[in-house]
Amino acid sequence: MPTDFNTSVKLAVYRSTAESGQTPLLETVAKEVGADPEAVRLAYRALRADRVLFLEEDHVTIRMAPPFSGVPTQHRVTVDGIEYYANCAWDALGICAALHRPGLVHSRCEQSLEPLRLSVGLDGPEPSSWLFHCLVPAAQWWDDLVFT
Amino acid sequence: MDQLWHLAVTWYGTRLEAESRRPAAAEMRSIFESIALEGDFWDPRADSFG
Repeated sequence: MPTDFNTSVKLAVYRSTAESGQTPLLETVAKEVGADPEAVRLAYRALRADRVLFLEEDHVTIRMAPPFSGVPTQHRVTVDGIEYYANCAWDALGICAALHRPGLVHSRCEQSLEPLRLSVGLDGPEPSSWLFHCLVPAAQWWDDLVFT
Repeated sequence: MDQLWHLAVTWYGTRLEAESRRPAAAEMRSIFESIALEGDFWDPRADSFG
């Protein structure tokens, strides 16, 4: 499959997610790029190999289009009135970075379970004493990406 | 949090653009080193984590 087609699929996925806050169905992406769903499925496989998408076991449902999550998580990010879910704290900031828009993050401290609210501007988050805890070594992140 | 914002921008700042991609392993290590994240834990090619 030509790389340009994979790029078109990637852009369709990410733009749809950015506009709606939800990762799109494969059929929606196929319609957007004017291709057969099977061709999009093959593009998904390539994008998964490039670690741009992470798919559910059915190989057609998008679990993660990092930094966006395809399922609800504890990390909610509101940007321009649209609510997104992030895969982790890193990705919560990543959503604001990807959209180049300020946002508001609602999450929780995993140690105290205290709710967290963080305003993120174009130049980064507001000052805080919070720490990001990365539990898994970088070489193993994609061994079990949901756990990571 | 400054380190995390740097990672967020570096990883995802161009994610909605056609040419965007996940950083390669060598690039990842360079990015981590630029914000003082060093050692096997932050080495995407490491096979041990002492």
